Amino acid sequence: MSQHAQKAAAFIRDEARTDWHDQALWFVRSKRDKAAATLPEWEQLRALASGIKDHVLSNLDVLLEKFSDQASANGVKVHWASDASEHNAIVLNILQQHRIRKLVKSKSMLTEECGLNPFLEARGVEVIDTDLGERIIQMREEPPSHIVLPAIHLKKEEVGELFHEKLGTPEGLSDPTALTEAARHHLRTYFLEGAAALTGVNFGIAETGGVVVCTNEGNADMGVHGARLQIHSMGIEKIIPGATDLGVFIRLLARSGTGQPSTVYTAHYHSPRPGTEMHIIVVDNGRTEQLGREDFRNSLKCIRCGACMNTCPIYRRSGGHSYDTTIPGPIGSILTPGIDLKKHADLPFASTLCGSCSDVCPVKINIHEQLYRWRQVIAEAGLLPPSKKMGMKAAAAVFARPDWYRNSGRIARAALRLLPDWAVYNRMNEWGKDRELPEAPAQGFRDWYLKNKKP
Amino acid sequence: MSRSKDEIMDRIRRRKPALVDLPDTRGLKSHIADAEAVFKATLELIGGDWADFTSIGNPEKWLETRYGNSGHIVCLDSDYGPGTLEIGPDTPLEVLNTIEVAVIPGKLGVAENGGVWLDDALLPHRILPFIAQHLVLTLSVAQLVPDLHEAYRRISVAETGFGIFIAGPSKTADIEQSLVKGAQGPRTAMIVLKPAIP
Repeated sequence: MSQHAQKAAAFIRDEARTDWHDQALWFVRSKRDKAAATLPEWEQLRALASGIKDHVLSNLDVLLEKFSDQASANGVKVHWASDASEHNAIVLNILQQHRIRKLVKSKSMLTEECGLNPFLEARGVEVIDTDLGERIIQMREEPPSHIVLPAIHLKKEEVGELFHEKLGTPEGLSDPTALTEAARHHLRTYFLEGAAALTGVNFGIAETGGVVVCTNEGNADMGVHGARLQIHSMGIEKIIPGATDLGVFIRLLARSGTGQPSTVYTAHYHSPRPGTEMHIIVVDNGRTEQLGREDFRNSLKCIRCGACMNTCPIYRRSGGHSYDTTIPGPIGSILTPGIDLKKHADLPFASTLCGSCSDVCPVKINIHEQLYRWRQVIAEAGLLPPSKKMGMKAAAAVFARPDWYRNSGRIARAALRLLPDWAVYNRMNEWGKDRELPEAPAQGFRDWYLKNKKP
Repeated sequence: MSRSKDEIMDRIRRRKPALVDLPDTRGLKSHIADAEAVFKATLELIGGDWADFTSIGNPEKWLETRYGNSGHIVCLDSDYGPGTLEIGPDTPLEVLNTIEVAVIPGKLGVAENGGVWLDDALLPHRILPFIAQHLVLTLSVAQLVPDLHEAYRRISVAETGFGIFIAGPSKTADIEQSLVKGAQGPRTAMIVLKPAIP
């Protein structure tokens, strides 16, 4: 069994919890549908967003240069990192220059990807994730299971236990309002220290050299405006040409992600407050490689809304941790094989190819088609597991010979009727797992057609 | 010039697809006719509060009745009196953390998402609208626009070093998808609308 399948099997062992997880995400997906339906121009917006990103990917060097020049002119220090380790070293270096050993962070999937937290902690820097969900999973020492809802896999009782242990809330307290209040006080003590703040970036504006950060809690702004040093980590693909393009993306982002008209806070940072410093780190870390893959470069259009996860029948029933990647779910399964094909060869198969992910994607990434294409790349690279390889070979042989194909139906029907259960429901037959195989009809379509066709 | 920058740029130039034109976003037409009605309805949807200026009576009294007088009021709209605390860019965070209410005139309001634009030109300290326990934003109906496209046409995002759309109170649903207001920022956000001057 593949790694994803194994972890998913462990996840669904608790049936009630699986259903709860499934429904929690479907609820978010339904809110997205409602929000999208309020805009008659929804499809026009998606097409525009996709088109703007097409332009960005085809003109990325020019736009990045413009962004960098403009940001520098605004008094921002721009850094460039080819990979994760260079990014982490830059952050550490900036902190060391200021003799700062504490960093308040707001949500950033890029720093998760780079492994920034463990890197800094190993070098004596305390890192405090300040998004509530992020703080919860940081305390539990586990990765986020969703890119927008990092603690969606947890029940309030589990958060209550955690806060009792770490924050001293009363035992048995599990009311979300009371727990959020406790976290508010806990995090404020860090904000008030005002040392250094780091955020991810939703959009970088080439024309003006500013970065845009979207949050609901206000944690990015509490961190940034209290700090004497602000750092923003940005993937190269986050660039958009101008401020007028922002309208298109901001209108799509939260509606697609959580069903809100927009996030509560849409912050535009262009220059530091007097007496403080602002740094932007522009990161590649494999993105230029994906840009060179014609079939997959479209995945770089992603604006990290999470809609494909909320809608995916596999994600909803296997949980984000089953993917074992920074970005789980459908979009993660087309981004991650490009980083390490061998390690993640099972992910493009963690899909029914139903296409719902592509339907809800606000920038129209053809996610399910890319999943299918990755499967071919993986087969060509010889990375299919033996059971799949044998099955594919057998199927190819049957489909290549019409007489074999004709007989195979008859044999399968007879087998389903005649074979004892142990021969059908065993570990060799994946299709017999957790499901009853259908009752075999007496006659196949071909026989029926020959008998009934009009002369 | 950093070596990594050169290398990244070089990889992009070798691998990027042929140039695709930037689509024109000007063709988008707003479907919102009554910006004021939609703005108010959106605020209700997102958990924000609103009031008509003409209905609140004496603004200073209204502030006191609504928010009590236990904490500090920072007031940047003279309609609402002088407040109890004056702040500037150098006010320490511990002092800013004692603010109960911040009353700030907004620059522009967006009907479709209930967002109000604030920037450095309006803020004595950037952290003010986040660190206060409660937020009051004042606007004239004439400052409302139907959607974000119109908003971005009207404002210049880089005019000051920092600008933001604030749409309602700080909130989170990170614990079991239960909506809680007052995550890290203000627990409530009230928008008071003045009628447009005829």
